[in-house]
Amino acid sequence: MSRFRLCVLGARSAPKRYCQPAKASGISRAKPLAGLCLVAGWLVAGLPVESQSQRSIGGVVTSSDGKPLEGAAVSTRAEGSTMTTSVWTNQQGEYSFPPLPDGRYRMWAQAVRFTLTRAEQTLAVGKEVRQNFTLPPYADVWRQLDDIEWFESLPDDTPEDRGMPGRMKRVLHYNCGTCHNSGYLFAKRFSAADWELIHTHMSNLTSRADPPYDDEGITNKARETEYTDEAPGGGTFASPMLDAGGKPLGAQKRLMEFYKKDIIAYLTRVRGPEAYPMAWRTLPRPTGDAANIVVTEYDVPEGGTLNRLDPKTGRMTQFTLGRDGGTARNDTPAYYLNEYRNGSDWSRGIRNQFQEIGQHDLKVGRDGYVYLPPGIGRDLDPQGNVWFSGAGGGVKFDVKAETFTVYPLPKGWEGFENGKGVDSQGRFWAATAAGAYRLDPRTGQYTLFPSVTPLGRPYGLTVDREDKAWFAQIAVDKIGYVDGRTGDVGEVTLPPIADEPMTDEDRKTERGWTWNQPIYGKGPRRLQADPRGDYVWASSYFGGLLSRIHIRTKQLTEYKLPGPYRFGNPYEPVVDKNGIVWVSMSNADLLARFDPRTERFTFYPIPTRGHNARNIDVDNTPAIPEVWVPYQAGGKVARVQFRTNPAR
Amino acid sequence: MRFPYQVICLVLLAVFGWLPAAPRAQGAGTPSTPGVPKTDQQKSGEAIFQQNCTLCHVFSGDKKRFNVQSSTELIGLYKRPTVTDEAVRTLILVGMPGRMPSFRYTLAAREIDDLIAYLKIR
Repeated sequence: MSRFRLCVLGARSAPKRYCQPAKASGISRAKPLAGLCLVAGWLVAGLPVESQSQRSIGGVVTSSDGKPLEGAAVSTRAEGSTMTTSVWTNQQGEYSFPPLPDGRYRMWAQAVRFTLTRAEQTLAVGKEVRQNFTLPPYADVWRQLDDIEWFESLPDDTPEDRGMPGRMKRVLHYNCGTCHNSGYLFAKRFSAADWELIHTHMSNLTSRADPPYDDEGITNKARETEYTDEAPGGGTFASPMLDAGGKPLGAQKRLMEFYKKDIIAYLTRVRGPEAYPMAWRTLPRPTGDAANIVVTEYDVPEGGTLNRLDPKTGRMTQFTLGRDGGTARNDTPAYYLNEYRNGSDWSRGIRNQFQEIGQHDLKVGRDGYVYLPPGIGRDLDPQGNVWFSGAGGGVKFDVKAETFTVYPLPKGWEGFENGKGVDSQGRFWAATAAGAYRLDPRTGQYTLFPSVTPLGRPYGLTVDREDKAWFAQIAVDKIGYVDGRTGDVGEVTLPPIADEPMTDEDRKTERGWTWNQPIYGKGPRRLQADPRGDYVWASSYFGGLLSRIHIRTKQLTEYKLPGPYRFGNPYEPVVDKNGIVWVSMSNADLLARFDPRTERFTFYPIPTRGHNARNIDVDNTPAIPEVWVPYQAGGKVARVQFRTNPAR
Repeated sequence: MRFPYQVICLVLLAVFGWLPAAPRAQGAGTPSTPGVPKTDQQKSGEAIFQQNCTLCHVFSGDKKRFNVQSSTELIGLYKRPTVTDEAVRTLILVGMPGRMPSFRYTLAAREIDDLIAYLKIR
């Protein structure tokens, strides 16, 4: 199928991005249609066109005393649809949805400290519908809390804090927060004996992924050497810690055991049998620009395979790699829906058992579709094909032919770690335990580029516009890089946290690994290069900050997330065409925007409780870029659109 | 206080036939996939199950790899003739020392009702 044909289709029914490749490639017949495609795509895609006459459903949200509620979320979903649209009220309590298709709609409005209230409406052609909501107060506010509101509400001056305000919040954040949203943990209350049982269970679990005894097969095979280091960063642990059988404890279990008494005592104190006099501190509701958005959520089908989303219709198409290497296409994938589980009702609390069980990755294609690959890590090649990993190697999905190609790793080589990228030459990069792999798809040959610091636990990976591959080393607070043109390797070190109080013993704890970290650590996890600029942006999951590194000078600048947002687990930063950095938040139902020019953060609401976003993407096609957010919990992906009409 | 607690645990062991915390396959004749909730109460119960029980009672490759699975996924639990609402409720409230925490401080009575409604069809 030619690009020209795609553009013609776009003029009739497909999103406007279909026109972009044709225009870029200079196909002359496509150019006159580009504007038409843009307008048609804009209209049919239901973008937030700001026109009073096109409002479909609007109204006012008030509290029981009749006062307007600003920043309340109002959501709607048509019968039989897999799409949910959400907007937020303005200062007068007013809300308005963008144009919606005709149909029967369920609606609900909610805000923390208020009772979710439901309504139903029918939309007919040209009809503007008014639906007002009155929200009664809600008593059990703890059930509705966002994850970082839990951290805001927890005490920070208990005996276990040892005179260091907020120490225990950070101990729990660094030892539990990789696998559990804070609301999932803190909504529970147990006796001391049961907290100890749970701690023991978790400590045993975390030790299974500890270097050097873990199952991840650290670096021996890839380096083809016998590897004797045991501590993250190399060497051996400075202080011996042995288990009951005399076996050295690994990096993560050491931290779990070091903090065991304090963790159990603190949890029993604040979430034990005796009700602790908790002061529930909730974040201000969104106002101004932060409330002036439209979030469209699309349900994700079951099945760990590649889904392709048509944003206009919400239709998902599944592609599965068969055992014979063939590709199966399914245009009617199965959904499993339970509204009590999907986070749409905040009073149902944080749902997920583990953080990483849902849709982790997402990539906006160049063909008008959004791709939801399985696994962790993805990128597009210069032709717009989707790359990810699976089946023992790198996987390319040819978006035109709709076929998979697997490029297997050589037998005996270490597997991939989390990050994946593609450089300007179409070469596939992947993080691995020893550093980074590069695959040349023309030959199928992989090359290993070892990291400078061993045992740093390479995690996220990105490729900058000069073909340097950058990878976060989460265990040692370093960002490694490989110059794809010269093969040179190097790294940038993030300094330890110095602005948060901790004891001398805390500072003496040794490095952790993926799941557990010392509270002076930062934990760089995901990173993305600005495709048009000279910086790589990395997020530090544990430390709650963004790091900016110049791709040539390696100059490092850090920006800490303010106040309570520090506990939001900033995940992946992605830079849009205007240089704005968008950051997913996996421990806050927010999307962060960082403007490097003003060095200010803005936080936009996500309407699903405990959504746990991971690898996001930006669609730069519209005049105002849109952000796409996959949810690890709730079974959805979301499109965030920014409105321009302050009055809505 | 210890004696009645131990008695309760022994009774629960007899009812549920729990084994030491090591992964094992589902028993013969036990369905391998959970039932699908249909009523609001069952759906609510499934959500509560997801929030409180799955860490031990739903298996996965990682859990198998890390040897942290519980002895059963509770699929077809109510097909066992000895299982009653009261026994299940007691187990949820009391827990089992060294095996399973008590949810008496976490779950409200209505939530346990919903959870039981789900376990009946799981």
